[in-house]
Amino acid sequence: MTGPSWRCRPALIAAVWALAVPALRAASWAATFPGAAGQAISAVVPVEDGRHFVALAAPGTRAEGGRLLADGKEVAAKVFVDPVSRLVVFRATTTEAVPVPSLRAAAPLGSGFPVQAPDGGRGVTDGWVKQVGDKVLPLSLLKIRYTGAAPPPGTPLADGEGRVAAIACHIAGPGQGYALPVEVVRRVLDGVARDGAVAKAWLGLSLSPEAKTPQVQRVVDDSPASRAGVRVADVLLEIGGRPVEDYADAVNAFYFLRPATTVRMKVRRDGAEVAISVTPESAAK
Amino acid sequence: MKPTAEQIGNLLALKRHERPEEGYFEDFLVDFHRRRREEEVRKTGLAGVWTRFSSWVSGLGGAKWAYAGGVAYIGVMAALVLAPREGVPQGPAATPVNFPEAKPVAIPTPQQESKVEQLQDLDLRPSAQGNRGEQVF
Repeated sequence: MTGPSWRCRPALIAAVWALAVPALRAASWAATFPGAAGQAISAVVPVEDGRHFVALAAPGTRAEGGRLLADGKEVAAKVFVDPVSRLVVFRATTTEAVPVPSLRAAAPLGSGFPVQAPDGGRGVTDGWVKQVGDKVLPLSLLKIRYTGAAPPPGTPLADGEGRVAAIACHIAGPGQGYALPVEVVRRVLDGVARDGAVAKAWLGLSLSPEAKTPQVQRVVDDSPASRAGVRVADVLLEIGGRPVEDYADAVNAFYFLRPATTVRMKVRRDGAEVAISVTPESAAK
Repeated sequence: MKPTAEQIGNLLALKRHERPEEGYFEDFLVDFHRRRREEEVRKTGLAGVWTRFSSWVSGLGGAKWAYAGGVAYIGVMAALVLAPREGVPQGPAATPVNFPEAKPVAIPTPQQESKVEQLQDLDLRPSAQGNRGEQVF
């Protein structure tokens, strides 16, 4: 028996090419979140084992209703939400693992650090944002100055070695935006892996946003702070290795605390530095 | 020689008509009071003082009521000035005061309405509202 005739071979080759190329091309991933104005689209970053994807639910959308899409088709996935950062983790259940970019251990601290988006867009870090107007943010964001337009929320920003340093989260103006530092992504992924949720930590001490220094105003009785020996009028200096200079720094440091994980704090009391170990509880209690 | 009854009768008749010299009774009264005051002066102690005071008051006559009114007025004013008032220290304490151990307190924040809001999530829309006032972490 002979093979296809010479008149059929070109058509056969074209058919094979038409079928193979889509399979060889990497899938295009995205996430959508329902909102009052319809479905809001977010870029997606594959992480960890290639079956977890991180996206960002825009304010005003319902993060729990997010859908993971591959080439426009919904992929079955479990949804985990961090209500503070609005990062959403999809744990896909019916897809093959995809290539995963590596994550930096921490975002660059200084200004002028170059970052790049997958579409080629470039920018540089321009410091940190802790407060916008009279509103103190629940965690500090990176300021990015872009050479072109700011990328859409959820877009990963990588360093020169291709490691993800931040995820774009907010467009602040022409060529300017804010980004979630990679530490936030790690915090969310760790919470999902350990507890199946991103649990907020609670210490039982209060601060005043109006105060010039992060001074403890009140300690709740029988709270982790009380049991650790935190006292009223203690000035916070360092929390979990993060230096604290003002109220917003303290708020940012508190975000990274994990329930049942002991951290060391430094406070100034009566002119002397005092080291304290405190084990937060879950704020859900 | 024993006087006769007739001589005794004549002496008694003379005694009946006997009169003291002029001014004897006026001088006697003055002299009596003088002797009496001299005795009082010679007395010592509180009793003597009181006696002299009493005699002085008795000698004032109607002016003693003016003196009494003045003394009463002075007494009332003194009582009002020196009366203890609530919250006013009454002078050095008889016993030492043990002050409680000083406790550090947080610097109080201004009582005016707080403008700063604490966002609970990264919602940077202008309409987003955070919590005001003291925040518990």
